[in-house]
Amino acid sequence: MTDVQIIVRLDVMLAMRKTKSRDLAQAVGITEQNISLLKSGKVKGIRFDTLAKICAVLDCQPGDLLEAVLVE
Amino acid sequence: MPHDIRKWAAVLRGLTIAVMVLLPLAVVFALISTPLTPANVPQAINRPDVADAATRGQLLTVTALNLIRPLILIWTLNEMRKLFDEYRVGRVLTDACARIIQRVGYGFLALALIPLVLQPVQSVLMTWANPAGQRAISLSVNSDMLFFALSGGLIIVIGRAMRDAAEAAAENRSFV
Repeated sequence: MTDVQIIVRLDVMLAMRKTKSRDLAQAVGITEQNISLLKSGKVKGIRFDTLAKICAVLDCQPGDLLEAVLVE
Repeated sequence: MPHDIRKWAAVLRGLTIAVMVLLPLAVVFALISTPLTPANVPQAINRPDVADAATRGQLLTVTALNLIRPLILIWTLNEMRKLFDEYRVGRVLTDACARIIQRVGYGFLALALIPLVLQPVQSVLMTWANPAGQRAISLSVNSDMLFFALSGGLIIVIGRAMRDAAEAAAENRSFV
């Protein structure tokens, strides 16, 4: 089976929406540090309610934030 | 974490430390106040047929063996103190706490099993000076031993379950 890795594209979406991490953190109700971890992909997972809040704030779909890429 | 756990952990930590101080003092007091004679040893090892001719070396060995149980008890109490220390500062669902709980269980189990080993050794030592036919080896199981063994087993299993819970909690913490 091919290995697939989930890549977080939050930084791209933040740039597209011209939103700062601090503002997103405030709107979602999580720490800036967690947003930073999310952007760098250093988290094991994201809760559905966090994902829903981010989608609501950035006016996007989960697929805009997460991408499955093949791993060599 | 509920404030109650921290409060009770602080109280129990204090009590545990108090017992850890008092227990060795009580043992030392008993050793000093009780002359080491063949007449006094039977009460300590539950053997009525201690030889009057038992040597001082035998008496000392039996007394020294009797100190193993309080030593295990102090070690177990110290593990309990470490656990209450962790709880007091708010660390509850951690792998370290789970491992301490397991060690407390091993302590209880050791407290149950150690008399099974010591009693035969002590009975042989203390009756060795008796004439042939009056020497004895004794082994007994009482309700205290069963209670400590079952409690120890239970605590070990709870500790193992807590390790799984701590792992799940750690994974949960790594979710945003």
